[in-house]
Amino acid sequence: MGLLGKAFNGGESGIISESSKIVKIAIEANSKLKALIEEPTVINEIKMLEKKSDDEVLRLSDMITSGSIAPNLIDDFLEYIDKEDNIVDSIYNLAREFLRYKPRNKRIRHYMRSQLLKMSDIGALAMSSLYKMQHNENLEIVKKHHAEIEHFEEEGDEIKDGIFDFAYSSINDFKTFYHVSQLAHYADNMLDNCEDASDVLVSIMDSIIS
Amino acid sequence: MLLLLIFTVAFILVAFVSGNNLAACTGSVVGSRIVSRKGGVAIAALGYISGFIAQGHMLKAGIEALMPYKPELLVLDALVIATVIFIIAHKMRVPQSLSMSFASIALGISVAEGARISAIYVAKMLLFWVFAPVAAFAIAILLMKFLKKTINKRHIWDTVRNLKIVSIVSAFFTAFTLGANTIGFLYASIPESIYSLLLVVAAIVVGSIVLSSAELKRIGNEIIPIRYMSSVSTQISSLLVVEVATIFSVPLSNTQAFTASIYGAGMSYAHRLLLKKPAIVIVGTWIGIAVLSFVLSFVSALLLL
Repeated sequence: MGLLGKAFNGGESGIISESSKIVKIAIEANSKLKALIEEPTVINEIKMLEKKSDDEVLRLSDMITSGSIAPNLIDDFLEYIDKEDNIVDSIYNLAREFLRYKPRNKRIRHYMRSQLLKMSDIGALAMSSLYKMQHNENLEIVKKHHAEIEHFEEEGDEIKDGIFDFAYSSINDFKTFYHVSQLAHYADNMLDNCEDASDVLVSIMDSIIS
Repeated sequence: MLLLLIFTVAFILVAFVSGNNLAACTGSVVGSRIVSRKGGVAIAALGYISGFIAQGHMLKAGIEALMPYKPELLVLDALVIATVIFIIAHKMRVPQSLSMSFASIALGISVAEGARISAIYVAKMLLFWVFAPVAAFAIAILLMKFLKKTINKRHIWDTVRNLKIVSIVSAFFTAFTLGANTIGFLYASIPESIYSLLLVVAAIVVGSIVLSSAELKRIGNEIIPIRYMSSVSTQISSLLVVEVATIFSVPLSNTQAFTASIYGAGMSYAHRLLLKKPAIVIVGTWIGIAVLSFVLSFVSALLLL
């Protein structure tokens, strides 16, 4: 691509490409989360990634508001990177909640671990699809990845519903019930935010060429 | 002395026109941040000058038909009336067309003079004024349909890049047609010489740089939350219509064609909210200003003769 091409492509495509750094951070944070669920350790690394994501959002916000983005798209782009950052935030919140309390019942602990690992695996797939969306310029393929993310989110919803069913039927003490509910919500948020970010991305790409 | 006054008022008027029309020419590329404000000013100024030099002479036939006798006093009268109406309308933020206003002024003066005016030319001009917006509207719809069908969704960023390049080129040519038509028409009314030509070029540069800042500030905030495809369709349809008018030596308002094109581009969206009232107000003020220009110039010419 020539210099002219780079100059004209610099706006929207540049921001989308740059914003994939946040998704990369989210993928890394998710893998740390998975390790933490398997073997509870300290949360510092995820906390640092969450901070890194915030810094990235600040940098990108500056690029969006001062760069060559059409004013009618600025709000969409800001919303988009905010949704991406929310993915990392929900991973961090999930990790914190996971370490905050340890249910006494071994069966509950085992069940929650297995469900959260499933959610983390689905999250990894959703984030990978989101990353592919950001690096593809074929709208049909982008929409295909978007549909995949929607499907992952639905799978996550089912797991969340299963956790609630389990909680209502098997948990008797409030603390554990509350802890399990929170974990289910945070894990679901991670997938919801992936879906929200992909929704905004498709909407941006659609509106650019409509 | 009269000649000096003519040149001074012509300079002011051309500067105002250049600055005021910058939004219609490069507003979409500045508003969508394809180019910076300075870039927008440079593109417009270059477009005006190229159009004025390349095709401005085509409007000479127009002024000859509307104002066959041009005594210096009446030329000054025409320029002063046009400038006053332009400034008042601008301050009142009323949409206006200098081409229509100045043509009406020339007509009013000639009627007062009892000059023999080409009825065929006047009829042709009125037909253009009525049908040009309709044509711009229709072309914008067709262009939008064409672009929607042909747009490459497999390489979205290449498509965006191409649309941006076309936007810049069409912005330049929109300014080109304005330079050829409106500025060419004004130039044809003043005594022709290398000095008057340089004066008009200088007025274009000064007007584009000094008098466009307010217009360009408005663009980003109020006017153009427009998409790339509609921006391209709007520019191309309006510049085509104005170019055809230039070829036929008819003064035609860029903003008139541009506004009609915006409505045309808007019509091509499935979900749209197009307000009728602004369109009625715009058409009403164009007609009102044309009539006012005619009456004022007729009365003033009678007083001066």
